[in-house]
Amino acid sequence: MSFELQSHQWPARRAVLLVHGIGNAKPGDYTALVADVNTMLGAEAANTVIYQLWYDQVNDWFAAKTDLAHLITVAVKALATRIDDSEIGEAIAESAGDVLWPVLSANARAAAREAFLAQVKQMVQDGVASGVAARRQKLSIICHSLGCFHTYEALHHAALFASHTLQPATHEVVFDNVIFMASPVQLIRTVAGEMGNLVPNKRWLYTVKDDKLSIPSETTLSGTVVPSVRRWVSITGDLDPVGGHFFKKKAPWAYMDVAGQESRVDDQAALNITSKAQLAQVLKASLRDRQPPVIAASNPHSWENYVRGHAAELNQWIAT
Amino acid sequence: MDRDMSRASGGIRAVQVAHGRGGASGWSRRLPSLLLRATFAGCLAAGLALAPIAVGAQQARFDTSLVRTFTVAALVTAARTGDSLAGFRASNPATHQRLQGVISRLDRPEVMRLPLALVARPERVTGSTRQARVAFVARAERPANAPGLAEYDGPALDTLAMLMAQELPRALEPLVGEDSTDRLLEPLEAFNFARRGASIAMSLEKLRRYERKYGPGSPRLNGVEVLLNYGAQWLPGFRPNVEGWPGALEVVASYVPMYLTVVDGNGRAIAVAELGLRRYLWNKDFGNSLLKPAYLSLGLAVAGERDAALASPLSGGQRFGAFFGWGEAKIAWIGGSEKRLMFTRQMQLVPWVF
Repeated sequence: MSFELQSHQWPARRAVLLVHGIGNAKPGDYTALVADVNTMLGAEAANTVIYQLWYDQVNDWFAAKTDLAHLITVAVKALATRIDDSEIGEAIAESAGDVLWPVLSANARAAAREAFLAQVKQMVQDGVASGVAARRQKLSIICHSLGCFHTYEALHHAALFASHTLQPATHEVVFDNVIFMASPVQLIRTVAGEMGNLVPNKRWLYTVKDDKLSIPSETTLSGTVVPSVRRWVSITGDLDPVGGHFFKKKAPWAYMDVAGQESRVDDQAALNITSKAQLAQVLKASLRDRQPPVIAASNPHSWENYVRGHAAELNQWIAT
Repeated sequence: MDRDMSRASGGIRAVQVAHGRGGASGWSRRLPSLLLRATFAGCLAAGLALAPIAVGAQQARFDTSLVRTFTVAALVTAARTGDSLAGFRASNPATHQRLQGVISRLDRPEVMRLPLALVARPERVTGSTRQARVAFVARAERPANAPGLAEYDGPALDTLAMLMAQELPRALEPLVGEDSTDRLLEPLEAFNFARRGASIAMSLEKLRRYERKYGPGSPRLNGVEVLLNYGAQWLPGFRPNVEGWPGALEVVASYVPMYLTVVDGNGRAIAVAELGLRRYLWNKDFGNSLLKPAYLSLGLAVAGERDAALASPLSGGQRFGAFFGWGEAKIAWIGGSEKRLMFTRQMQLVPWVF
């Protein structure tokens, strides 16, 4: 089945792209999340088009053909060593390990990135076709977990390669907001760095490419630096290991901290996870054998909880 | 083209006036600029009523049908008008010079009359464009893709569009407002719309190729092939290129338990080890039938000393030869004391094994 893009008529100037994390998502899924986003948008929901990126179909091609379980085990061990906590290290490494596999397949990375960029181009194109010039479009991305990695990779690639017609200066495509929820980008960067030469095509893995993580930008012919994103936000929780926090302790080597980003770290006390053992239990309960994890509302990694918990702020950023 | 030209004709006249007085100074230099802005504002006011574009209650709305009607002349005219309105000659001479450079290259009747939809193709700049200069961009490979379009006209168009987008909106908006800026730059929006459409098609083509190589219809790999192809990601042809196109090659290292042959009128099965390459065929017409397969494969075939199914080809006394696959259909020939010509079908009986 060929890859299909979502296309919508725009009622106004605003569109939001939702990029999910690990899962077997397909069109029709994440209805609760979309409802939460609509609630967050309030009256502006009617003037906002919501797109969802469905890239699991692409992931499935690679999962079925290139079983890299052994190498993922190597990555998970590297992560567990880094966490260095006998109580929760293994559970965290296992639950976060799923976000590491794209670094091991250059083809899977490139294909997911292409699916991402194709959908973004279609979104911009829909806006123009609805009468909104690219420079007037109010674009936002809300991504979660592994979706943050794909977002980081795709935006950097788009800023660099004119062929995607998404450069901020040359094609006037600038995102008002990119909101990373429980971003594993820094965690992947660290683990990929420790895996060294086991990571293929590192030259085009933007997560590890430069001295530090950055907001993508384009330098014009006259030397002006134009960022691809006006507001770059990181939201995570103090119990969410994928977002770089190991039981209320921030791990700088795993927490995405990009120069210029707005940061929010939620106090997740409301989840009533009071011990490391309890956290390990919650994380392990989400895992399934050879299948994506199931993230319940009691899990500190829940996307829906992040959206609900920041509804007012998100509304201010996206809908005004 | 006539419509494009007439819509911006006020701008063209004004540009000519301004350029005609380019050597003047002081008020005499600024006066044409002020007159120009007044003229442009008037033209816009009149043009809004006549222009064949959908105008919303509050904002100018881009009409995609313009992609078909706008020509290179419209883009060039918009660039000239914008350059003049923004006063780049005095305020941003480097951009003015660059704009005039690419405009002079494109300002030929056989180019100016070409519809933007015809000349729009995805830019093919590979590598970093962060420090790109006009010359760098112009050197980028881009085939002449329309009658009248010479070798370097495509890159010149890309450069013109790049300069317009990078410099004009932020210079014009404080002078004439968002709405008028959008109206003036409609040819640029049309050009980008056409290019983005081509770019979407390019992305979908890449994904189609990935699906051909990795999707459900592709040959399954065994454990050894998974590792070998993981290692091959460091080699061109196997890994994606910088633009994200998949490599067409894949390593084959498989054990085929049953190639079939006929010996003295009797059918016989022979186990064969294969080591070679698989090359995927990207042609859209291929991949749907035996005659037009999705891939070819070629390499070394090794059989054991005696003809036997499910035997080890590496147990000594090997016979060597070659195999060739035309999609799922494979033929192999082995030499040695007992030569064999054999046939089989690409399949995996035990997942990840053979």
